[in-house]
Amino acid sequence: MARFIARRVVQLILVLLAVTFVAFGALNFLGDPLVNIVGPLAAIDYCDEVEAGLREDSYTSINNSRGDCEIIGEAKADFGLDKPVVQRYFTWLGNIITGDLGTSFQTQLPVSEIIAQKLPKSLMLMVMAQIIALAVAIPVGVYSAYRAGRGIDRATSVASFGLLSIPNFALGVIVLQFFALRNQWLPASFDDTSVGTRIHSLILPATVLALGIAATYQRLLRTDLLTTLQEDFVHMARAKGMTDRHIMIRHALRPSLFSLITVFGVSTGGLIGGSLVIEGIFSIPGIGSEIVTAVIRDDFPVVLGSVVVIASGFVVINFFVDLFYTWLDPRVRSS
Amino acid sequence: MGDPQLTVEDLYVRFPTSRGTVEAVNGITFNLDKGQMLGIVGESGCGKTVMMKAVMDLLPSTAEVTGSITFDGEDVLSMDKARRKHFYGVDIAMVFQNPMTSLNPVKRIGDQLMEGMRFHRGLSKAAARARAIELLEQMQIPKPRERIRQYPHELSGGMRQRVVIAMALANDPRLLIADEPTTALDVTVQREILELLDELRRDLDMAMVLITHDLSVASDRTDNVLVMRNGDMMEMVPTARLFDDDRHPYTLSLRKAMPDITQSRGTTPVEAAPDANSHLRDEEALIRVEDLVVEFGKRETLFRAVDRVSFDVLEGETLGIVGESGCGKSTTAKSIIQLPEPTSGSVRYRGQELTELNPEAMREVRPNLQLIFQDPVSALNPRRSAWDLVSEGVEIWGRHGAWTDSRIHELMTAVGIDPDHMDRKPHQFSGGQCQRLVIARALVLDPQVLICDEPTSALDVSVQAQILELLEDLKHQYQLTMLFISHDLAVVRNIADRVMVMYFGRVVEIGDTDSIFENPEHPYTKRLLSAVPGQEALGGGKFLGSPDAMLGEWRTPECRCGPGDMPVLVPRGPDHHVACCHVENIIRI
Repeated sequence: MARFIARRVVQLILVLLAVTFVAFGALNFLGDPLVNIVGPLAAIDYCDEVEAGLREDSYTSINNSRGDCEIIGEAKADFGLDKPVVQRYFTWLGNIITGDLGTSFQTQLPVSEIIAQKLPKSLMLMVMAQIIALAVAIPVGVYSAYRAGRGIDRATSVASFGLLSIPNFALGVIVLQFFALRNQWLPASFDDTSVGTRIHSLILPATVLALGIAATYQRLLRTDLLTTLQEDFVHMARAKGMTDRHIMIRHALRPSLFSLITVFGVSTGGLIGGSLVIEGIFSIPGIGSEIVTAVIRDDFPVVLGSVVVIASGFVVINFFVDLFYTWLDPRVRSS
Repeated sequence: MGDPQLTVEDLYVRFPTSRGTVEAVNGITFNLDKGQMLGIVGESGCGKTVMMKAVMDLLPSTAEVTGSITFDGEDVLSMDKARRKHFYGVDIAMVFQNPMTSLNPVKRIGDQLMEGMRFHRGLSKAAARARAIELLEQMQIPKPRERIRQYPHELSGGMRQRVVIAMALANDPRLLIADEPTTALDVTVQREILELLDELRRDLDMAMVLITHDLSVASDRTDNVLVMRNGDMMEMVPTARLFDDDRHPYTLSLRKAMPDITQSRGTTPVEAAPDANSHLRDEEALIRVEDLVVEFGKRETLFRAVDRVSFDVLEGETLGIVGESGCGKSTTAKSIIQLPEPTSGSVRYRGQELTELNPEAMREVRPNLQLIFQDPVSALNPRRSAWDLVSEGVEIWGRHGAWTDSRIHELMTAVGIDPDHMDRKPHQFSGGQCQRLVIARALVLDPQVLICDEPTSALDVSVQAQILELLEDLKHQYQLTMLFISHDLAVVRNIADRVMVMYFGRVVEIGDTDSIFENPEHPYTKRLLSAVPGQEALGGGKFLGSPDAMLGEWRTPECRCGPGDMPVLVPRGPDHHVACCHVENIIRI
């Protein structure tokens, strides 16, 4: 077991290195960070020409006492952009390890502070969504497998496919209209006053997010359960005179959770950053909307910091999913 | 007439499907007296399992069951809910065919044993636990206290079936239904389990139904035998009269299809030059394997499946490789075609060293060595037609010139597939026909050697006999050399010229078929032979102890191998070699 965990931790570190390197590299090669700091002059060969004596440095910038090229040079040194990319990557990586995610180009605030402010809201939304999804999908999945082919099973199938085929934003708008605006049963936007108000105001968006995944979970669980119910050990349990309820919950459920758990791990990663549409509709100042803003403004440190946090979250959750497999199936433990 | 435990009268089971009603059981009537054992025999699909599942109320809700089932005077089909709740698993219990799948893989053995006792009898956890341990002891399972903490995958197949039986007996049932309880097990384990069941039945004075496709298993232990075919009852006879000549024609045909271990095929067409020093006969043998080693895994998980195995196969010969599952017989044969690649050793085909060939050169050799699989249904791509499956090899090798369509037709006829059925998909064929397709697919490449890996063990006995006959015919027609892997000694005796017995990755005995079967030398060979069912009437040998006792011990009176000793094959006859550690002892004899 210890070896299993150790191996997964090493894997986790390697995944994070790869993800951050690709993100860092992509952002540096696809756009010049300097342009975002000092403007378009940084992008052309202006400074090279000045240095080569081909033209005079002009004094059009904010401070007339210094030439544009001088300012560009200072900014380069300030932000460490005069060093090679690989070196910058490792400097940045070292900073991350010490908890320093850099400073936003735009707001000059530390990235860690921005994330600390935005992430908990998204995280809370995600956790609530997953809890709702599992709480709905597991009982419904078990029951529809138990009554496979009957009316109730058909009805849940139709409902599941319906939910799967409505995009989040559409469902979000409908739910917002009906539950928050027309009837005012639940708040329409995020209320940050206390933990209670936060949970209360996240019920609607979390449910909207949850329904889609719940439908996926329900389909997967139902299919896996139907396969498990064909197994000999289920017949054996019936021959022992066990009740249907006992067989469904004590015998069949656990070996049927694999697909569901796998998709749980994958969808969680998507949810952390991918709920931006819902965050938009329900005015939640979460990490999703923050990333979109940062990408549009080429605010590299914010984008990178968010990527690191989301990727780590994804890998860590899937690490726990793997641990959960071993709990589900003792055969995984010994292999 | 004694005191009936179970009476089935005019029982019908029908399954309505979209293509009409399937009649699985057609008006069966029988009586099982208290403490008696009834064998229900028939091929798969004859309705024997469906019938007993109807008794156990295990059929899907779509099944229509009519007739009457009476258990000790109680009408089972009209039983009220409260009685039913504590009827199955208490008064009547069932053991299933495959112990590998009839235990829940994610629950501890103890929990699975205890749940029935706790539910039906309201035992406390401690009491149920104590009873579980007691039951495991009764099943002759060593260290029961540790076992109940284990999961099913930590136990061998035989052990698991013992656990399943313990589970069935937990609440002292008056009737036990055993559905092919030993079919999935090795022949030596099979005997142990059958003996255990028999013993328990007598000790607990319980009635028992033994469902089996194997007439020999039924003939050894039952009081009466009910023969079924296509849902109909052919006849029900006292077991003692099963081998009389005035039996129902279907019973006779089942009997005829039983491979007979006492009968030799009489011919030994290949003359082998006796070699006093080695069991390898000919430098120029068609296949010559020397010191073959195949290992799987690495470091701590390293497992040596085949351990320094040497043998040769002459052209036109059939070599039977026998042994229990896991003994390395399949691996040995398959590593000839480099699937998997041997870890070390030499494999020569027509003098060519196959282990040194690069993949491209090996590909050129492959058509000559074709494989027949154990499970024909999974060996055929379900989405391709019979024609596509068979002609694919021809297309790949671009032999369309020589192998015209009419030649494929001819081949299909030769293996017994109606050429009009060429556009059918595998699922439209029976298991036996699928095996015929697999054989045609192999033969289309004009092979020299067929490697048959348990080609009939997934098939019914009567089909098995047909396939064996077909292989024999084709062997002569196409001058084939065969490697025939099987755990069924009777089959091997009927088809092989020579036999190689394997045990834990090593050859323990090799020689011509008659010598091995009539004069087995190695204790393991003797044990294998004595464990074959159907010999009770013939005074078959007594079982020689548990497999654990054999591990690491190679014991013949004159030849003792300690741990770590490497046995060598020493000659005991013109073509008969046996594994031994201390050769000097044997020469003295």
